[in-house]
Amino acid sequence: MKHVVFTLLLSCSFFSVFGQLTYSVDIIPDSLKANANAVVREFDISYERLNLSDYVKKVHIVTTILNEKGKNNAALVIYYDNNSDITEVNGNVFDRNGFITKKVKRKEMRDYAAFENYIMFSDNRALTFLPAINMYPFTIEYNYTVKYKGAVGIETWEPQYSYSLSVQAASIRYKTPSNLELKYLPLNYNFDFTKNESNAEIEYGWKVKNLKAVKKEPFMPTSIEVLPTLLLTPSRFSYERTEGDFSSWENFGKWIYTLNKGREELPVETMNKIKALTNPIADKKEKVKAVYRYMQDKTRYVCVSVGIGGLQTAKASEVDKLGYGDCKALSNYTKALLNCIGIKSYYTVIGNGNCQIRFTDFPSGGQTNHIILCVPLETDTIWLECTSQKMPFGFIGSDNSNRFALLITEEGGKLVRTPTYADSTNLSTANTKLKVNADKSADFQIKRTYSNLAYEWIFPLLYQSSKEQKDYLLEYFADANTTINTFSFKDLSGVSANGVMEASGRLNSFTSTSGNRVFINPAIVFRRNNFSEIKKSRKQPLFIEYGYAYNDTLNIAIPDNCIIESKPADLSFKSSLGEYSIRYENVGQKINIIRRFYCISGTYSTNQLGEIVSFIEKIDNADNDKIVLKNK
Amino acid sequence: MALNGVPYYAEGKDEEKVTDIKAVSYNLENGKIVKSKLDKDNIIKEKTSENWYKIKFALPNVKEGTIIEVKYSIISDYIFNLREWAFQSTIPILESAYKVWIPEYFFYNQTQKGYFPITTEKDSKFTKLTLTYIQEDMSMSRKGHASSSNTFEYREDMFFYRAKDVKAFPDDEYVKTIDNFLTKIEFELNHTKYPNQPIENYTSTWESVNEKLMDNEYFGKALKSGGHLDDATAQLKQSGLTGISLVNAAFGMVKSKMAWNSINSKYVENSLRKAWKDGAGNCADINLNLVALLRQLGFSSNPVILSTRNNGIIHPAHPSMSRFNYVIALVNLDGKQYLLDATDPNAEINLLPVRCLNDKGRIVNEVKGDWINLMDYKPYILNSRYELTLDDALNLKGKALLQFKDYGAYSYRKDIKKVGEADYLKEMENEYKNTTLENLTINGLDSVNKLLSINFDLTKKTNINKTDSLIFFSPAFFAYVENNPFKAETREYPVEMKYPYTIYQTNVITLPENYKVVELPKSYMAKLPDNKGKYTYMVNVNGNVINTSIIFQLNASLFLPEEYKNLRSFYQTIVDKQNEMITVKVN
Repeated sequence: MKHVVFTLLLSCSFFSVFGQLTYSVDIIPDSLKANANAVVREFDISYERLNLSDYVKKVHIVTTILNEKGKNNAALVIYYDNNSDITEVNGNVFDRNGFITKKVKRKEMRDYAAFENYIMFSDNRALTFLPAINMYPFTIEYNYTVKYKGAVGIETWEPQYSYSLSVQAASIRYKTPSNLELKYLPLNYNFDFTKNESNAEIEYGWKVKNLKAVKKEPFMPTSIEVLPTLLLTPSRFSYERTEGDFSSWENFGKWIYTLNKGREELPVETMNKIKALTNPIADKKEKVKAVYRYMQDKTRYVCVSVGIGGLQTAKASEVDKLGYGDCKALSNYTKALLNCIGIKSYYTVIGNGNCQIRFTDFPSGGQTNHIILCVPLETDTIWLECTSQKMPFGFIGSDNSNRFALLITEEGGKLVRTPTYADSTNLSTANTKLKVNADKSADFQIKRTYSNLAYEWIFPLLYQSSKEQKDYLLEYFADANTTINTFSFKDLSGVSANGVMEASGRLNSFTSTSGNRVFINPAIVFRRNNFSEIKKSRKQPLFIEYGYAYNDTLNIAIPDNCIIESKPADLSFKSSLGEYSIRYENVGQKINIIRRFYCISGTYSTNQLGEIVSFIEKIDNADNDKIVLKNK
Repeated sequence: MALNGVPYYAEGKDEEKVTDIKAVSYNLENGKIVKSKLDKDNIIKEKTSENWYKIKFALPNVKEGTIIEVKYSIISDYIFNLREWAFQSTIPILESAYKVWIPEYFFYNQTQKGYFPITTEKDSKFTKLTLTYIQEDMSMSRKGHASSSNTFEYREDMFFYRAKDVKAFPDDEYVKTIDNFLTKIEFELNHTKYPNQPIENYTSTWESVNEKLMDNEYFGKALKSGGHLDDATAQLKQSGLTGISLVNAAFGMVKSKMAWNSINSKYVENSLRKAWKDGAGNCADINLNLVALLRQLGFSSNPVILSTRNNGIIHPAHPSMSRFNYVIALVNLDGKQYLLDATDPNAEINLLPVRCLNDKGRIVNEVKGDWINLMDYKPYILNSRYELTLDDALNLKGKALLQFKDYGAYSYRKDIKKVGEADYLKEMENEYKNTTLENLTINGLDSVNKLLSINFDLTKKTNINKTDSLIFFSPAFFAYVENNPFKAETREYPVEMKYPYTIYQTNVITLPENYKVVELPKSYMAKLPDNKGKYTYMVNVNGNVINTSIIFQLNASLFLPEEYKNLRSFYQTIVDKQNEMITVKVN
C-alpha cells in the first residue's frame, strides 16, 4: 500500500488541479512573459548547517526558456573546490506542454577548471550542462546537493539572478543549530519571512512570488540596488581550520589579521636593498613612492585561488623570490617593504568595481573582493593599488575610490572611506588645430590630456604598441579617412594621474559639399559618450558612477577662396545631469570653437528623464551644427 | 606558446608526458644579468577537456624588459600527434626554428602554411636501437629468465625549418581565422612501415581518405543502417511531393526533428538510430541521417566533409583526414548539386550556416570522392524602401519596407527568433539612431526559402542645418554603408567576407510645399575591377519630392591584399558620396 501512496503523491506533484501539467508553458501568466526571455518557475534552495564548519546545500530549480536569448538560463553551472563536493545532481527537460522529454545525468555534464583563462592557480572547478534544444519554449529542471566542509560566507540570494528573467515562485530555507547565529539583510523586496525554533534548531525561510522581468538598460545602478536580494552571513564561521566571525567588521578584520600574521618577513638582502634605495631620500612620501616603484618593477599580477589561498596572503618572502602574486600577496609584500624602513601601512580589504561595502551595519564577506594598501603619513594618507605595474603612484582608480574600505589593524578591522575624485577634476582637455584645404581634406594637429579618472580612458593605450595606438587614432576621427603623420602617447602622472595624446596628420574626407557651398562638421573632433542610449522610455534610474568634464578648443583655418556664409549660434545650457556650452569666434579666415561639457555623478530618478534626454538631444544638435562656407 | 601552458593528450592512463620543464627569466639589474628559475612547486596540471590536459606555470620575476627562456619535452606514444609548429604569432618573432627527426618507419605529410618564407634543410643519419626481450618465467622458482636481444639499424630523416624576423600577425574581423595565415608547418601521419610488416596507411591520397571514411563504423558504415527511417520515408512519400520539393520536405523534417548539440564532428556519436530517437546529436548525427533519409527516398545523396571557418582551410595538395571537422549533405538532382546542413533550422538548400562557408569540401562517395565548392552559392540581399516626409520642424516621418532574401533573410530570421517577434521592435530600433519605430510587422519569418519582409513606421529627429532661408542635409538618412570599415592604409592579408552582398535602397523624401531644392548632388557610379563591386547612386527631384536610389553590390567574398587599396577607396567613395548635401530654399 505504501508504494501506491507514493505513486499517487508523485503524480499529484506533476499535475495541477486544472488538468494541465505543472510545467506546461501555457499556465505562465502573461505578466511574467512580458520582457522575459526566461521564467523561473520554481527555485528552492535549502541550507542545513550541521556544525560550525559543515553545510549541506540543496537546490531545486525549474526554468522555462521562452526564446534563444534566454538560452543561457537553461545552463547548469555548479562551482566547487577542494572544500566542497557535489553529492547529487540530475535534471529533466520538459516540452511546452510539460511532458518530460529527456533526463539529464551527471555523466553528460562537463567538468572543468573554472576561470581557467585568467586564474593561474586554482582548485575551483565547475560542473556545467547546457541542453541541446533549439525548439522554444521548453522547460528544464535541475536538482543538486553540495556538501561544504567549511565556508566563510553564504552566497547572496538573488532569486531573479539576471535581467529579462521573471520568477513565478522562489524560496530559500536555512536551518541551523540555535547556537550558531545567522544574520540576514533583505533588500529591494518585501520577502515573505518565517522563523521556526524547535529542538535547539532554528529554521528561517524567505519567499518571493511573481517577480516581473526587468530589462537591462544602459547606465543602470548595479543589481543589488534594484533586484530582490537577500544577504546572509553566519555570525561565526570556520574555514580551513581557522575560526572567525562576522559579528562586527572589527572582528572580521581580526580574523584576516590573524590569518596574515607572520607573513611579512623578508630576506635580509631585500631589506638592505630597500634601505639603500630609500636612505638618500628625505621626504617620507617620496620614500613610499620609491618603494611602490620598486614593487611595480619587480612584480606582476597572477591570480591565485587555491584553498585558503583565496583568503590568506602568500608570504612576502615568496613574492620576493617569485616576483608575482595576487592582490593579497602584492599588497602584503609592499606592506613588508615599507615596514622594513619603518613606515607603517595597513592591509586593506575592499570591494572593487560594483562589489563594495555598502552595509556598514551588516558585516559580510560578499561585500569585498580585493585588497589594496593604505599608508597613513603625518600630512597625507596614500592609497596604493598594488596589482598594476603601471598605475600612477597613489592613484586607485574608479574601481577603488569613493567607498568604504576595511583597514586591517592589530586591534581588528576599521572602516574608513577611500578618497573621491571630484567630478570636475576628471578632466580631458584638447587643443585641436585644423587647416581646411580646397579639396575635401584638412590638416590637423591635436593634443589631448586626461587627468584623474579621465586618465583611465587612456591608461591602457599609453602602454600599448605603436600599432595599437595608431589604430586607435585611425578610429578617433570616425569616417574622415585619416592619415596619421606623427603621434605620441605619454604618461605624465605626478601628483595626480595624467596622460597625454598628441597627433598630427590629414583628414582626407573632412568637408562635404553642395554646389559651391562647403560644410564643416566639427563634431568629429569632439569626444562624446554613449548618452544617446538613454531613452525617455527607460524604466530604471540612471546611474552615473563618476562625473567628468571635456574642455575642447578647436582652431579652424578656412581656405582663402572661401567666405563664411553661416556659423552656428553660441549656446550654453544646463540640466541636472550637467552643463554644456559652445562658442564660435570668427577672426578673418579663422574660426575658434570653445566647447565645454560637464557631467555630474549620481543616481537620477526616472522623473528626471525628460529633462535629461532633452539635454542630451540639445547637445547632439549643437555638436552637429555645421559651419557653412561659400566659395568666393 | 608555452606561456599559455603546454597541452598534452591522454586517454585514460595512457598519457603523453611533459617532462624536463625548465623556465628561466633573465633580468638586467645594475649591469648584471640576474637569473630566476622556475620552482617545481609552481608547475601545475590542469584538465581542460575530456582528453586534453595542460601544464601551467608562472615564471618568477617577469617584468618589462625581461627575457624568458622555456624548455620542455613531450613524450608521446600517439604518433599521429606530431606537433605542428607556428613560426608566427601575435607578437613579432626574431627567430623561430623547428628540427624534426623522423625514423624511417613513419611517413608524414608536411604542410607549410602562411605568407612568410621559411627555410628548410634536410639531412639523414643511421642509428641503432637494441631491443631486449625478457621472457618471464612462469614457474614458482623465479630463477630462469630467458632473454634475447635484437638490434635494428634504421635511418632517421631530419628536417630543419627556420624563419627569421617574422612580423606579428594582427587580429582582424575580416579574417575567418588567423590560423589560415599564420606561417607554420603541420604534420599529418601518412603511413607507417615497420620492418617485415606491410605498410599501414593512415592517409595518403584523397582516394584513400574517401575509402577510409566509407569503411568507418561512424561514417560510411553508419549510413548503411536506415531501418529507423522507414516511418519517416513512408510519411514523406505519402506527401506526393517529388524532386527538389521532396528534398526540401525531407530537409525540413530532419531540421524540425533533430536539434544540434553545438558539437562539430565528422563522426556519428553512437549510431544514427540513437540520434534519431533522441532527436538530438552532433552535426554528423544529423546530416548523415539526412543523407540516409534522402537515399531511402531514392535520391542520389552523399556526405560532404569540410573544415569550419574557425578550424582553418583545407589544402587540396595535402591529403589529410584530421583537418576535417564537420559534415553536411549533398543531393545530385537533374544534373545539379545541392548542399544541405540540417543543424540549423534557418538553413536552406544551398544556403549553409556561416560556419560552413570555408572554401571547398570533399564529397565522400562510392567512387573516389571529389571536391565541391562551398562558397558564394547565395548572396546577402536586402531591398529597402523608405517613404519619408519632412515637416517644418525638420523631422522625418514615414514608412519603411525591408525585404530580405538569401543570407539577408537567414541572418535576420536568426536575430528575430532570438528575441521573439514581439520584442523585436526594440532590437530594430537600436539599428536606427534617434529614430522611433512603430507598428512593426514581420512577414515570412517561418517560411524559410521565401522572402522575409519587415514593415514599420518611423519618426526621426534630424539635426538638419538651417540658416535664415536655406536648409542643408544629406539624403542618406538610413545609409546601409554607414562607415568605412577599412581604416588602415595597407593590409598584408586578404579580406574575407562571408558572402557577396546586393543592397538596393530607394528613398522618397517629400518636402513641405514651400520648399524648393536649389542644389542636388550629382548621380554617381563607382566600380571595383573585375566586376567585384559596384555602387550606383542616383538622385533626382520632382517638384518637392526627392528620389534617391542606391545599389551597393559586392560580388566576391574574398579580396586579396593587392585589391585592398581599391576596396578601401571604394568604401570611402560611398561614404563621401553619401555625405554630399542637398541645399533647399525655404520660401
